[in-house]
Amino acid sequence: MLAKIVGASLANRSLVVLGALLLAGLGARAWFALPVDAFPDVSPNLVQVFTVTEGLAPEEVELYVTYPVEVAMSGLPGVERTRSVSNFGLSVVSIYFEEDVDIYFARQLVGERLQEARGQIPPGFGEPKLGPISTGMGLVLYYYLDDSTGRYSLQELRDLQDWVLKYHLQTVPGVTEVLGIGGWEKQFQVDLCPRSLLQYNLDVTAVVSAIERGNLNVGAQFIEKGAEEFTVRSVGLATGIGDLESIVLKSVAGRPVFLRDVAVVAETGAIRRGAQTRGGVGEVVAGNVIKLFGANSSAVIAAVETKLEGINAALPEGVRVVPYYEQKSLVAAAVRTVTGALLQGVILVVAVLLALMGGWRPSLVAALAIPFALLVAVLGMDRLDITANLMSLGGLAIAIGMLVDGAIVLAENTDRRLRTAPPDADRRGVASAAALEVLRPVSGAVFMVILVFTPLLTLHGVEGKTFGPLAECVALAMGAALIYTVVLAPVLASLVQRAPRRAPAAGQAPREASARLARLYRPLAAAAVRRPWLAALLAAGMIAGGVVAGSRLGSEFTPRLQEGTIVVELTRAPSISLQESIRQNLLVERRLLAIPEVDDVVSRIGRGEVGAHAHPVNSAELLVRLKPRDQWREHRTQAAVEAAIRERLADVPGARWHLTQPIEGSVAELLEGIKAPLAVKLYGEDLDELRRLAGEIAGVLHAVPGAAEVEVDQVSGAPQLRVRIDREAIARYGLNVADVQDVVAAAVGGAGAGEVFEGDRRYPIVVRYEERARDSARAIADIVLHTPDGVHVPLGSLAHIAEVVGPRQITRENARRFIAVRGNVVGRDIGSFVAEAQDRLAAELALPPGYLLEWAGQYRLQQQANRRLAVVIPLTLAAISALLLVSMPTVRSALVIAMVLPVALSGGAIALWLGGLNASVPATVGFIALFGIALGNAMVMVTRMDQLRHSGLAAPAAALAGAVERLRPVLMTALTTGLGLLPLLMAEGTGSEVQRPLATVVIGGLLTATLVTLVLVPAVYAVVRRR
Amino acid sequence: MMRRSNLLMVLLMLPAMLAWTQVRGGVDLAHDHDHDHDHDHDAVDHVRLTPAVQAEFGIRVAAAGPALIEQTVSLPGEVRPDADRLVHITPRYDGIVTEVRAELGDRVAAGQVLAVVENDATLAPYSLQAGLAGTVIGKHLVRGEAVGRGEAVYVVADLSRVWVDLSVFQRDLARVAPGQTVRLFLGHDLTGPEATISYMTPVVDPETRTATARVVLENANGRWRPGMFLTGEVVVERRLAAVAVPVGAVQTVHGEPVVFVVEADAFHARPVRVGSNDAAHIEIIAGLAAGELVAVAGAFVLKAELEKAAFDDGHHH
Repeated sequence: MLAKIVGASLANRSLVVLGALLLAGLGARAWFALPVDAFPDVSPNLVQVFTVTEGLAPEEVELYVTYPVEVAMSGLPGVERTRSVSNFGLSVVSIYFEEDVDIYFARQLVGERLQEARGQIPPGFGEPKLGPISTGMGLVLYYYLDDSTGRYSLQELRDLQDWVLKYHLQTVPGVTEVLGIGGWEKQFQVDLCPRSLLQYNLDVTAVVSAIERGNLNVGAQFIEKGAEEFTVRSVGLATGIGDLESIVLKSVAGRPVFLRDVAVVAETGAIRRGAQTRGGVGEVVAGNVIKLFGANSSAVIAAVETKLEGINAALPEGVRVVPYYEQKSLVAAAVRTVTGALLQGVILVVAVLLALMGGWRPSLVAALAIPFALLVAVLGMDRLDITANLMSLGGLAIAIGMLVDGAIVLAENTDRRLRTAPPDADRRGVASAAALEVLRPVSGAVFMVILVFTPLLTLHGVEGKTFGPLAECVALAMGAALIYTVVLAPVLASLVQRAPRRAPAAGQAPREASARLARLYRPLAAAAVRRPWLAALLAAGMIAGGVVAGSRLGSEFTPRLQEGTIVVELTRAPSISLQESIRQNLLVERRLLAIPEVDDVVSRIGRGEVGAHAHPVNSAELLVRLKPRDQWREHRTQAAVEAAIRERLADVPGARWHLTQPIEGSVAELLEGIKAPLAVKLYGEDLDELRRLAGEIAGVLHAVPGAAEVEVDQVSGAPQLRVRIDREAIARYGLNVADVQDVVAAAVGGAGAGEVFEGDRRYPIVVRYEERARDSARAIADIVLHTPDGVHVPLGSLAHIAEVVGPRQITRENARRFIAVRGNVVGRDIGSFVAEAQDRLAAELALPPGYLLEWAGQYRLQQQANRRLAVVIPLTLAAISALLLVSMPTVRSALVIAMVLPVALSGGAIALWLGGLNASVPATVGFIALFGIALGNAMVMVTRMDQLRHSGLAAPAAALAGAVERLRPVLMTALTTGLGLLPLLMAEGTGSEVQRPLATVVIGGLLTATLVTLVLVPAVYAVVRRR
Repeated sequence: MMRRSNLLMVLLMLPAMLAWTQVRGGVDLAHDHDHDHDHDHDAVDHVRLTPAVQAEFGIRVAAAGPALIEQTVSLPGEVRPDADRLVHITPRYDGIVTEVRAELGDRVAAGQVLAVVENDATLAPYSLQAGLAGTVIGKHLVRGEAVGRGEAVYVVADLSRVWVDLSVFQRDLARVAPGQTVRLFLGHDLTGPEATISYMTPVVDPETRTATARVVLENANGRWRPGMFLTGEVVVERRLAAVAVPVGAVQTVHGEPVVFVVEADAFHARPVRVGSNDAAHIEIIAGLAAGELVAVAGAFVLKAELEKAAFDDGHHH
């Protein structure tokens, strides 16, 4: 078949070249359209439903909002699980879809079902909304408003954010939402004086309806005046405080009672559940720009920045938008790291070609494989929706050195053939013969590389999403290289390469160099063939070294990608007030600013506009901006700065914290619930019972050897002022529950009474008791209600008011309440720990009916991953063996080649150990890659030995001659692969930490594999084939 | 041949196993390296902070001691004329008003003629006189009007003393009593003098379901105008608590009230029994002696530090 392809392509040379140019051109076009990201997006496929329910406690949020939403979502196709959190005033339902469900389809499904849910939620209890069409990597830019004049209040700045910045930025293509936080949202607050209400015999509800009736415009059709029509419009909208205050509430004996008689109307800040602070100085107003799902990060960020420049010019003098976190710098850094490596790789590979190939013509044939394969790979990325990012481009960088291998062998063989061919021979014929001689092992080797990367595609979850693009890109590039080698390279060889005009002796330096190498190598190979046991000893030594080094390696999951920005996630006591949270946060910010490398600290406390964050006010996220790296004096690495932060925060009282990074943190949030290494989920109905049982479970787990950091989810601890209505009392006064609750809700929490319009801007009117009439349990007990009989009765006579500790949040999964006990296992295998813990729990824990245990956490994912790998790796090996057996004429030859593998793996392990690196997923990827890479050279060499032996040479002679003859291509392919990876090994920039282990393993393995190929393969071949 | 392919498989499986154990090792030991919390699971009852941290986070210490604690009840009230100093002036005979001499708000002396009425029967004029020195607060006649016997045409009140009638809701009846001090608030930041409840109605009004507590106010300058609405804050209890601390010093830990007592350089969470409190102080009935040093400001920080181990939200593991 190969012969047919080569023949056909050589017969239609111009067609082949044109086709290749077309493909490359399409690839080039795709390159410029390719979305650029920093990392592959590992966020789960989910749709979130947010419902803000002003003032409701977690129990009511769950009952009235979360439950209907969850029920509506049940039975949707493609849903993996639902998860919900009912917090104070906020319900978040996350619907996790299977990975292959289209996100817009999923949103549409959820949106349709939400209509159902809306009908189930009582009016006034909030409107469920879909979260932004984005992912954990969608927060591309954070900014705050800097007011250098000090003239603008936090409320005015927030007004600018909500009505100017937000609307301008949301029109930028690729921006799905802009969420404001910090400062105060403006509203018109009507502060009622309860005494005056009593005086005029009014209650809150009467005031609310009076305001609503006193603030509207209507249309009244038109009148005709002569030949013209005049539209009649009645204007009664309040334009400001004055108008509102003049609203008449009632009239007593002809004398009107105005709103101002019973209330003070003021523009104040609305109730807020979050704030933004900066630099240990005070509060600021900030905004988060969220990128649309699938949009090109760099393009969106660039467009937002351009827009911001325009906005800055339009803002009042002295006010400026200051971006304090831009994913752009991260994207740029990551892409810079990997494209740098890519470019250096290309240069190194070309240099090797020129140095060893002997002449630019064969070098050109080999080198053209790089642009062709890369461009075709990019075309493939475009088709498969793979974005350009650290991992996918890293895959290309890894492939660079390998994808020229086939072309090298082919060009080199053509070159060799041309030298020996008669001067008048048809170059097409020579090229064809040379190609057919090596194509079988060469295409086998390339195919093997593709093959070994395929099991990575079966990885799941975070590691699958991280390393999938890498494997896909390697496979794409190698696939393109395969096409190049089989179809294009023979054509180009026949077009470009020719026999050198001068004799070899005329002094071509490279040729001289490789000839000298061959002279050096021949005695070595001869010695190995004569004394095979020496070669075997060498290999055994290497394997032993590998085993020793391998056993000493530390281990980690994936090296952490350094984003260059540090985030401190800080949790305070669940009962803390926002004001106290802000106070303490500023103190922490000041501590961080004392570190010389820290440029600025900007913190988000609680949540702002709903959509990106749903945190309570006891949680803060401090974004630590670092100075440019060249200004780092005291701490020179991110790790050192992190250590300094840890030291500074060690004795911060009353707060727990941990360090993360912007993208790392937001992705973890979306993955929430599976991040713990080990978790026991207890499903059940009663919150107190759940808590009690969870405590028992924690106790049991604690006692199992190896348990560490066992913690029960804190679901309680939020103080409540519980107003429990006394039904008998209200019956005596002729009231019903709603009468009482309406007054409590309005008086204490505030009731909406329409809006004031100022141009486009609209501000709510909120009616509430003045602060001192609602700021304590006693004041609330003094709220006076009007009974139908005209009797005045204080709330304290109608309800029991008590301070209790209530749930802080209620979490549910798959529509059932649950509480999780999380933990870690230290110094023992998780599997056996779980088995023992399960036995103990079964023996010691009596679960009431309706309560259910489930084991979860990363442990489950690990088990899944291990099970998958346990199937896939042997399968891959079987496939490799099959491929070997197919491409090698005999089992013995295949066996000789397979021998290289253990040595190569040992080399990888030794290199890891020498480099001080841990075994990790990327290192494993490197080992898997070695399966494919290490064998190629041996295949090429053994094939030649077989060919020589068939032409009549004895085994030892064939071994020796084949080895010497293939020295040049073997060295070249090893060098190109190794040097192609060298830049990844040396890279220091953002993201380099992920690819270094991979490059280390491959380079180390390649070194030992090449050595073994050159020494052991001829020796073993001679032994195996002697008889 | 068979033997050789077995050997081949073994050779091939060896690196596979090596690589696989790497993967397993990598995954098994995966855990959050950023786990910076100290995991204190034993029930700790004290917190130790350096003086610098105490100053930074605003923790202040003071001795517990006696304090005056007030219990108050807020009641709506209304200014009324003193009913003992109020007269209604009524015509003796039906007649026609011929002369009006006093207008609303006029101050009149006792016996001063307010109006002259012509008797319908005798056509003789007679005068209506003020029954006491005071202010005209009601007038229901004009010249030429026919007025009848038994119809109050003038109301004259001596406003140098007024009543403030406070409505006492049922739930407060047991606590409000004559003799208690009342602070009066008019709203709009107007505060009246301290006064005393002089009288309480023995019955509850069947319409409003409230009793009335009466305060008598001297009103020489006429500042308290009848009809005014106000709030009276009745001090129902005022006593010296032997041991009291500022309200913020008491925190709730595990559902129990505690104060943080300084003992041996550390703040110990000491469970206490609390009594009554007002806006400033809270009485400690048991668990704390006068003179002991407690955290009076920033006690919440101490509570948070104490409960640190328990309140992590568990999001980030």
